[in-house]
Amino acid sequence: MRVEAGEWVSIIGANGAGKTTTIKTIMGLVTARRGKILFNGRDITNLPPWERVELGISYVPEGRRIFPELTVEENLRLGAFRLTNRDPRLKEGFERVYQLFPRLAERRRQLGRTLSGGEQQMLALGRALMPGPRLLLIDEISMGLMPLAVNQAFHSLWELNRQGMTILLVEQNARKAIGYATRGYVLETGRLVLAGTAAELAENPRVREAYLGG
Amino acid sequence: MILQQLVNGLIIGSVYALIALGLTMIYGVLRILHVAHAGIYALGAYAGLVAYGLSQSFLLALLAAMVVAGAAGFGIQRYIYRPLFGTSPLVPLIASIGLFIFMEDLYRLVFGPNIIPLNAVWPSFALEWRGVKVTETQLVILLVTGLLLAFVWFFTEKTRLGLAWKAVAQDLEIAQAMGVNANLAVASNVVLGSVLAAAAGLLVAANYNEVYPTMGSVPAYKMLAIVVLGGLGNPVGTVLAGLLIGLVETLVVAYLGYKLPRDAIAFLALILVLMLKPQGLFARKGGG
Repeated sequence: MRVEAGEWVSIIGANGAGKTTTIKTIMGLVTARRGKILFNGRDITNLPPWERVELGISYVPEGRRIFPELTVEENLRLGAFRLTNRDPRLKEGFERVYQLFPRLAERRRQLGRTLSGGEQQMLALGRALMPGPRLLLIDEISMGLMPLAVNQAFHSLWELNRQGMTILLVEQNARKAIGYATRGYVLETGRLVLAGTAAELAENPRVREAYLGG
Repeated sequence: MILQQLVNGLIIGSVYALIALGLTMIYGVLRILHVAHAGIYALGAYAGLVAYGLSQSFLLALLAAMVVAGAAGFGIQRYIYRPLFGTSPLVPLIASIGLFIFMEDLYRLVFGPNIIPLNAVWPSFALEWRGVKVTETQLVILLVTGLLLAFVWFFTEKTRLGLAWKAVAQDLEIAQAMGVNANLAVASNVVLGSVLAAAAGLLVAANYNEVYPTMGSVPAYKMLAIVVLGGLGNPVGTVLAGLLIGLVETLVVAYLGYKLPRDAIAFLALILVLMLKPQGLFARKGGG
């Protein structure tokens, strides 16, 4: 599997196909049993997750997983945990995220658990953007969100991708995942069974039948 | 008279708060009921005893106790708890209880089974105000616990490492994915918790002028009761619960005498709270 700089690559597949495991392995939260993970040509297979963050990999987990007992601001601060308090990039990060999601700026002092689902998703995404990553790993951004919030989330990603952010997304909502992507992969019970550009996948009869609803 | 009892109660309560705070911090990040924390408490007393014998300086003894206990805490999380990570929560709990028994027997082997007096000598600076007397030892206890509690508060609320502890306590996996070095966060947390236990151990040794192998036994159970009263993993609740138990114990002994054994009070409170408010006295509404 490859993701080139500036691309949006989507991995689709049914529940239990190994999508989340794939993302977690790239983040370093699950140990790879075989194979190698290269990032900008560097072998990161054995790096702990916190060092992968430093290289520019950011993660938006399934179910958002914001820190419920921390404020919005503290959640964002953690996103850029590797930066010291004096680092100018920290202030830039806050400015960037608050500009992208003014709602988060309004709720700066609120605890994470008091946010709505859509706001929590903004926070999870904003948190991942704080350190100025080069690659965004996104796991099931649509899960548990109302359709309007799903559209907003995808729109934010589209906007980020247009500005040059590289995105690797796994998603059950195949229609959206493929609709926005440059390329895609299909995962079935832990194996890559198909690969292609978004257009190719959208035309593929097997994909159409199994994932796009005919 | 009542004022004197309140002062005495708060002072002993502040020591309870110190030892229980360390335990609740460690529970917060590791999710392990670190029973051997009481062994660290006794270790602090013994390390302080040896250092005091050599230097005749209580400050040096306190520093030595904290350094030795911090190192022991580091070793325990690194070589006992970390390898057990991911096992059933019972496994580290049993390991912790076993370690505690081992520590008590180790102290017996090295220092003998008898009570050793610490014989700390202070310059006299006891306070007396309208009949309320605060002894030198009590003043030292107040000073040390106050400073340590303030230090922990500052550390958890104002530093990056403190934020990392909170994040790890709430979601270890995601904290790591945000760039928190989990090994470092856990290790530093256990070291600081152990330092608090050691200080508490030495202060109690100074207060009763005795150091003995099983001095951690009663605190072991009492600190568990206090931590549950305070709402497991809740530092502020734990400090309040520690102060409360110290106060109640002292008042009951002062006004009812020893009809009820002093050490039973914490457990009576524990049983009542578990029956009436199992999430702890100071649990936040809706908090996890």
